[in-house]
Parts: sequence; structure tokens; C-alpha cells
Amino acid sequence: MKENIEALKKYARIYWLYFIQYWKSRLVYKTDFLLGATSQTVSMAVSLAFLTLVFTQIETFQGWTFDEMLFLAGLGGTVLFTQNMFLFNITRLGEDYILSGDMDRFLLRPLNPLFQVYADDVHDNNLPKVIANIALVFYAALQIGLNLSLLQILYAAASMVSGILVLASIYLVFSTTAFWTGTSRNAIWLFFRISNFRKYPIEIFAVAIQALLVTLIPIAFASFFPASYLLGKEGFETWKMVTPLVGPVFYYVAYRFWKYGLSKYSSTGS
Amino acid sequence: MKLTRYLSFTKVGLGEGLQYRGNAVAGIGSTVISLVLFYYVWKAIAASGELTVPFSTIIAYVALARVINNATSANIESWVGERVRKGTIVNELKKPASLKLQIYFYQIGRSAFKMMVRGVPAFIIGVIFLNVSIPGLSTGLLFIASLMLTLNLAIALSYMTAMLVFWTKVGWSLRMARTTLAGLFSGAMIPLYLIPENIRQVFYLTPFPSMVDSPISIYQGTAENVLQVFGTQIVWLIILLTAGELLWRKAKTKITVQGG
Amino acid sequence: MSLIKAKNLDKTFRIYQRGEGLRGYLKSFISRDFEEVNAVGDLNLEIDEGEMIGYIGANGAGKSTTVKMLTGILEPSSGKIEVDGLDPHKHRKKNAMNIGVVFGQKTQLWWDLPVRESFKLLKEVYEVSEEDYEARIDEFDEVLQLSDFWDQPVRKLSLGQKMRCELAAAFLHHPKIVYLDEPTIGLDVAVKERIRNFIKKMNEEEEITVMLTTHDIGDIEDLCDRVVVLDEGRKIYDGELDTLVNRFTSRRLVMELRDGEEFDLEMEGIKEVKREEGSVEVVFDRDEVSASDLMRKILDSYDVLDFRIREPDIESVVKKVYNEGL
Repeated sequence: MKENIEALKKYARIYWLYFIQYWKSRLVYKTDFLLGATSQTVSMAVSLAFLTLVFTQIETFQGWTFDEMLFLAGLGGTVLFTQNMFLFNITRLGEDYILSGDMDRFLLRPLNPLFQVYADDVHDNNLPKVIANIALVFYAALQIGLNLSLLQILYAAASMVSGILVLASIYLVFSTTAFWTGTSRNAIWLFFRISNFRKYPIEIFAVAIQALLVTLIPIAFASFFPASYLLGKEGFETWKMVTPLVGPVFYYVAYRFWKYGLSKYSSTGS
Repeated sequence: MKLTRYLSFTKVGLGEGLQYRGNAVAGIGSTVISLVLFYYVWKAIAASGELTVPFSTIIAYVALARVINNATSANIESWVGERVRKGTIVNELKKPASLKLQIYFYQIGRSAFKMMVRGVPAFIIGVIFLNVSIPGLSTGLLFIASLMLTLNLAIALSYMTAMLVFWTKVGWSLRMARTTLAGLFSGAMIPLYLIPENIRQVFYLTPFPSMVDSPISIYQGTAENVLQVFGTQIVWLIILLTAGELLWRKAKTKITVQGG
Repeated sequence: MSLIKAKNLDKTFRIYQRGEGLRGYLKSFISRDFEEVNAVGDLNLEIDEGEMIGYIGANGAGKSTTVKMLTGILEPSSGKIEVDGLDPHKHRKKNAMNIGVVFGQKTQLWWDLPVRESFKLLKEVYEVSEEDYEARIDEFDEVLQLSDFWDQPVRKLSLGQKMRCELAAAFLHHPKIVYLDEPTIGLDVAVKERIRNFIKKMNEEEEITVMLTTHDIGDIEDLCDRVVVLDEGRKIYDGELDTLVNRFTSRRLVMELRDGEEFDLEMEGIKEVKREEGSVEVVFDRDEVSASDLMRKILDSYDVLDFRIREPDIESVVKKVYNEGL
């Protein structure tokens, strides 16, 4: 046990070093950062405008009020973009780490190679989106007059962590295919397209799609289920209960797959 | 002005599009996913309240908007951005052909490819699943004319935004901002007739409605005066071309001042 | 006791063929043709602690494949490896703490960071204590002069500077074994010497075992007593450098003949005759004919103006190894 704690401390220290170094070099590219932030803001503004305009024509959307929809979008967005900020780098696995031979370099160090891939880059262009989505959640909660018990707050925190792990496991599985195909980018665009589905209650979709959003690309755990529970909506009770637990489970499975891919790499070389 | 020489750029545009086979698959895939999402969202919206227009018309509108966007998307921002970043933009200027015309014909080639590979499949999906009706001959022809104007508008708009790259040095974020705004203001996300009157007037202050809502209004027969529609498109074309030209002049002085 | 033990090491790769055109692309989802390439075959290698060996062979002979297996990156198709009692693949992380690597063009440092920060990271990664770290850096600075560019980002360093950093990084944590791949390539003579001295110092003072892969004759001459030669995946020589040189190269007699003299001597032991502007070079095997016998014969038959005998040298061995195999 003591060994594990020491190891955790070591990884934390190393990640911290990576992290501050990253920000130091980032500050050099200020204009890039601002531009990226601007276009992300436009994106978010358009999203909100769409919802607002839709609600000029209707009172509730499938039983959800405007503010509840904002809450849903904000919660899902917070989870998604926080994940993207820290754990997105795995999507560059094929092109930037396997084909370039950098993976060998990682394997020569007494460190977990997956950790090294994650730590190698922080996708900070997500930071404005994270902040905006958190603001959205608080705004919506205020408008609704949401009063959460301590248990519910704990649930919210646990589900958000779980949601991050769920999304991370999706990315990890898709990216691991690069050990066979050499590319990880193609698999990712699919997920991007589908991630937009997170802003809506899944009941509006055909059952087949609902199944997809809960099993193969389980983004429902990262947005809809927690939001639905916290807002006191009915339906999907069991799914909502297990939400805080599925994250670690999914990630564990994804991690085994990663190890398998890594072992294939070790036997075939690059 | 040697037409054949410029047409060679069209061939290049077409050829480069054909190279990226995966691109075609990705294009169809993202169209399908996007349309599926809108289908269910609008279905739920229609079921949640009394809309002035039936769901079937709405979804046909959204599908048509998608077809138009797929068929007319232009990306001059990246073209310019890449050359500004690498510094090769000066080489392009030195060529004996007008840069603007080069870009224009090249984009025509790329769009021809996109029309085939993304526009047509989107149209087929729309007809089969999303209640897009097959128009009569005269409507169809008028629609195509309007679509051609949209294509020119798209190129002019992309060109104008691309001029900003000379200052920002990066093309992709500008393009993303442009296409996102276009998505909203053009009616591609919400048919414009569903938007409250006063807000809609603001939308008309931008060129975006003339690029999507206009050709759709001809297609679905909701346009009051077809000539007026064409007129609006042409007016916007002139405005965008002028703006693009002005920005270009400014950019040119910037390049020559900074050196090659 | 051997520190590194490799027994019956074998590594076979499958190279999958890419299908031609659209049909090939589709077919590749069902079944793919492949070719099996035996990169390393039945290799046995034992290295004792404190040894410094040269590992040479032509490109594609299997050198980097061997090193990748010894460092744990690659899993052998068959055979056993033991490095300081550990299987380097099974216990990759533990083994990695014990080794240092300078691997060709790939840097072990962080490209965008200043050298100082790279070393700070390495200190954490390899769990070097604060005092040890300070002492080490000072020690290295004396020989490698790292302080000259301590605050520069790695990508801005010249090749020589980068290589000095790589070496410091490889030896920082007192590893038991260091694998060096072309450490002096592209460097000027002064830097080469400094680097070789550093490696020698580490090997002598701390008994760090060094496995050196290199084309550079100077490296081999200066650093390695023992040399292992690999050809097409198989070990063809393992022993002292001098013996290698003597066994695999021949002596050469270079002479200047009077104008117009045709050299057409045929004699047992003459392996090759090369004619150039004004001189003739006779390559002979001294096991078959002694230099004196050859000379006597030639002086009797030809009008020789001047001559000299060239001793076998490492350069020709290495050239031979890398160009034609042995």
C-alpha cells in the first residue's frame, strides 16, 4: 500500500512539472490562444442562441423547461470539455506517437506509457468552454431555484468524475485501434459528431439510438442521467443510480484493451 | 484573360478533392449523423408545442439547408492561411495569373467535387427520409440558378474572411467562426420563418439568409417574388465582393510593407 | 557473473503486404498476405558487469532489434533475456530504472523545454535524490560543460550540445547499463573526444556496463575491447577487437612500378590486385603467403621503384562489415 502511495506522489509531481512547463511555453503563443477562445465562444453563443430561439416557439421541450435544458447542456459540457482539456491527447496516438517512434521513447522510461501520452499536452483551448459551461450550470440552477441535498451534491460530483472517465474510456478505446491501423484520427471525428447529442434528453431519440448512447458511445452517463436525476426527472432510475459507478468500470475495460494493444505493439514493433 | 489557363485550376481543385476518399465517407457520415440529430430534435420540438409550420416542412427545410451547405462550402481561409504561415503567399502573387481568379476557379473545382460527393447523397437522404419533395422542372431550374448564386456568395464570403488571415495568421478558427454563425443566421439550424419577426430582421442584415434561406424559399415555393430573391442574392454578392476587394488592398500594402 | 544474458534469442517480424488498388484495400479486411522476416536468429550474448562492448553490423543486420529486446521495448519471438536478473519486457519499468539509453535520433529529453527543466523531470522520473542530483550535475558539468546552455530549449541546441545532454541524461541516475546508439555521429573531432572521455570515465569509475552501437571507427578503437559483429540477424563474431581485425582483413602491399611495367603476377595467397594511377595494390593473405616470400617474388620479376606494406586496420574491417558483411 505504501508503495502505491509513493508511486501516486511520484506521478503527481511529474504531472505537475509537465503542467507548469506547458503553461510557460503556452504564454508565448498568446494570439493563437485568443483566436481559439474567440471561435469557441462564438460556437457556444450560437448554441445558446439556437436554444433560446427554439423556446420562443414552445414552452417546454419534451417536458423540460428552458432553464432545465441549459442545466443539461452545461453539465454535459463541463464534463466533456474538462475531459478534453486533460485527457484528449490520446487521440494523437497513431500519427504523433506510434508512427513517429515516440512510443519507444516512452517505453524506455520507468513510467506508465499511457500516463506519458496524457501528460504530453494540455488542450487548453477547452478552458473557456469549461468556464462557460460551469457558469451555465450555476445560472440555470439559480433560475430553477435548485436546492440540492448534501447527498445529491456528492452524487453530482461523483457522476461528473464518472462521466469524465466514461468519455475518457471512449477516446481510449478508439485511439488504441491505432496500434493496428496506425491512425487514431478517423475514429475520433465520429465521436465528435455524436457528442452533440448530449445536449438533449435521450427520450426524444429512437430506441436504437438511445441504446447506442448508453452502450457503445455511452455519453448519456456523462450528461443526461446525472442531469435528469438532479433535476428530479422521472425515468431511467436504475441507469441514474449506477451512473457514478460506470465510469471506473468502463475505464478499466478500456485500459485492458490499451494494454492488449500495447502488447501487440511490443511484438510487432512499429 | 485566358480561360483555359484558369480552368486548369478547376481541374486541380477537382483532383485534390478526389484524392481524399476518406473525406467523402466522413462527409456522408457527418451529414447522416447531423440530420438524424436534427430530425429527432425537431420532432420533439414539434410535439412540444403549436408550431406555425408542420414538422414535415421543417425537417425538409433543414435537410435542404444541409444539401446546400454541403454543395457550396468553400475554404479559402485554409488555403491562404497555409501560404501565409509558410511564407509562400508571395510566390502566388508573382504568378502571371490574377490571384483572385486562380482561387475562384480552384474553389469551383473543389465545390464541384463536394456537390457530387456530399451534396447529392444529402439530397437523396432528404428525399427518402426527410420529406424533401421532388420539385417541378421550372422550380428545379430556378433552384439551381439560385444555388449557383449561393456558390458564388460562399466563395466571396470565404474570400473576404480569408483576407483577415493576413492579420490573424491562422485560418481555421476564422473559418469555424464563419461556418458556425452561418449555421445559425442562414436558417440551417432553425428555419427562418420560425424566428420572431424582430430578430429575423437582424438576421437579414447578414448575407447568410441569402445563401440558404433564399434558395430554399424558391424550392419550397414560399418565396413571394422570385426576382426579389435573386435580387437580394446579387446585392449581397456585390457587397461581399467589394468588402473582399477592400480588405485585399489593405492586405497587399501590408505584405509589400513587410517585405517578401 | 553476467549482467546481461541472452539465450537463443529470436525475433521474427510479419510484414503485411498492402493490397493494390481498391480490390486490395477491401481484400485486406478479410485476409492479408504477409512475409516473415527473421530479424534476429538464435542469438546468444553474455555481457559482464563493467564491460564496454561494441555491437556492429550493417544496417538491417538486427542491431537495433537486439537493443530493443534488451531494453524491453520489443518482445522476443523466442528465447530468454535476463538483465540484472530481470526479464526486461516483463519487468519493463523496473528494468528501465536500471538503464540509460541514447537512442539514435530520438531524444530522451523534452523538445520544447529548457535543458534545466528536462533534467528536473528526469530527476523525478528516475527518483534521484536532491543531493545526488546536485552532485551529479556538477560532476557532469566539468566534463560536458552543460552550464553553457543550461537554460536553452532543447530544440535550439546544436547537435554536439544535444548529444552532451543526452549522455548526461543517460548516466544521470547511476544506471547499471547504458545503451548507446551512434553517440558521436555528425560531431566534430573535439566534441567526439570529449564524449568518448566521458563514456570512459563513467565506465571506469562507476563500472557502468556500456553497449555501444556505432559506425565510427574512432569510437570502436578508443572505447571497445570487445566487439560483437552481427550479420543478417546472426552473430558472426564475438571477441577481442584485435583478433577481429587480424582475422578478417588482409595485408596489403602497395608499390610503385616503373612506367610501362605490367603487373601480372599470379601466386597463391594473392587475393586481389588493384591498379591505380601509378600504383599497384596487392591484397594478400599472410596465412598462405608470407610478406617476405611475396616481396622476393615481386622484386625478382618486376622493376619496383617504391613499396610499402599496409597493416590490417579497423577501418577496413568496419567498412567491410558495413558494406559487404564478413
